[in-house]
Amino acid sequence: MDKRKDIIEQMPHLMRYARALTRDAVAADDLVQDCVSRALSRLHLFKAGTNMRAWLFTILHNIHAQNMRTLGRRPRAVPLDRELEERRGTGPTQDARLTARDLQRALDQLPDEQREVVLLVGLKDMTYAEAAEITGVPVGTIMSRLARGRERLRRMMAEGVPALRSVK
Amino acid sequence: MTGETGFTETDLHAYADGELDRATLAEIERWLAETPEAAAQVHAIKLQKYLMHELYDDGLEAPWPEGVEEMLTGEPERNWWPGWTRLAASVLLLLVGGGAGWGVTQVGSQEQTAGRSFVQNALYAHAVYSHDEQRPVEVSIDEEQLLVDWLSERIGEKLMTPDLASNGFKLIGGRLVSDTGMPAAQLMYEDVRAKRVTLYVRKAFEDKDSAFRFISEDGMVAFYWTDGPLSYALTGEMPRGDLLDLAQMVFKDISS
Repeated sequence: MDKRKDIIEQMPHLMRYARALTRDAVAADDLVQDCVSRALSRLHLFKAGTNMRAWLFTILHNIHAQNMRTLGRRPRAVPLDRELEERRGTGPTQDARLTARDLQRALDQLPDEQREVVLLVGLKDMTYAEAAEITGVPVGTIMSRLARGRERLRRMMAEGVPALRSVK
Repeated sequence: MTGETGFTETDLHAYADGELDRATLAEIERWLAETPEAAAQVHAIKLQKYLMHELYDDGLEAPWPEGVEEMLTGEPERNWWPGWTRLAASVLLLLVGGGAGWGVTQVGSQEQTAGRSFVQNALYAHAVYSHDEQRPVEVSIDEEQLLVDWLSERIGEKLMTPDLASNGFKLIGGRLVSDTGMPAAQLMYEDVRAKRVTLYVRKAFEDKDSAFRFISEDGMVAFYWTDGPLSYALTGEMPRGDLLDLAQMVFKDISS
């Protein structure tokens, strides 16, 4: 079936975004699993020819937001972190690796609403209009969250990131 | 911050994110060329985006959560037993083949070096082209006859295009590459998840048939062998057993 094939095509993007958002491979798997099963149960609501990626990301985003409300906080990030660092071992140079890790820590410090937008747009998955649709806020808000989030990242990376995640 | 020029901080982000229309794009680029501090800011934004890919792109390749494939394809999960018998057969073939291969590589270090260099070039070509989203192939499968004729002529032997459809991989096209100065053909296959494997073929680097040899590097795995006038390398990013299934299929298809 065509719509299912469209979902299959988007799976890599869903996996990447879920992992970036939760920073926990297990939580990301749960999130994608819930997202796909909800999408399938509502497949008749998806209009053929419209944007499947944005539709799926909206579902994923809503489930994530719901989880956050119930759990009241982000899941702990240790497992994926360690995995990432191990893989990085053979990857880019030491410098690039350190900077990527700095960025990771800085991202952890951002308020959720800014972090989501920075990730949605930054991983090149989404236009401003799509990010607005997914998070349910106006494009202007997307743009200001993006500017504020990135400026904070830049400052934190320039000045050094506090090692511990602050309690929000 | 850039009031008098008409560009705002938001414009810089929009520029870095490719959100501007063509006219504004040209204008802002002229302005950036003479405004180093704004250009530095754009650079910082692009660096963040680059690092974000460094951090998270592994996620694109992450194995799907349990049960998702089943939900999406509507097929029951692969039956374990046939899977295991297939795997066992593969391992047996690898052991037998491995023995023969060992004999070949003992013949002389020259052949060993030639084989090593051949498969190394295949790995490089795979790394460069299989991740190219714009133009992974030079000639697409839409022009299959042209593709086959052209590549056959360049490598100097009749090139076969093995059919891997029963394992879910479709030929999408191919290109000509240089194997340390010698023409080589790269055929690219893709499955529904856009996972790609490449078959790299050139005139044989050794003068007799060989068994499968195996190499794994930088997350890629490859099987390579010589069959008649041509040497082949099949490269992918997947478990060794899965790639071996494909390599056997290629081998069977070509020699039948």
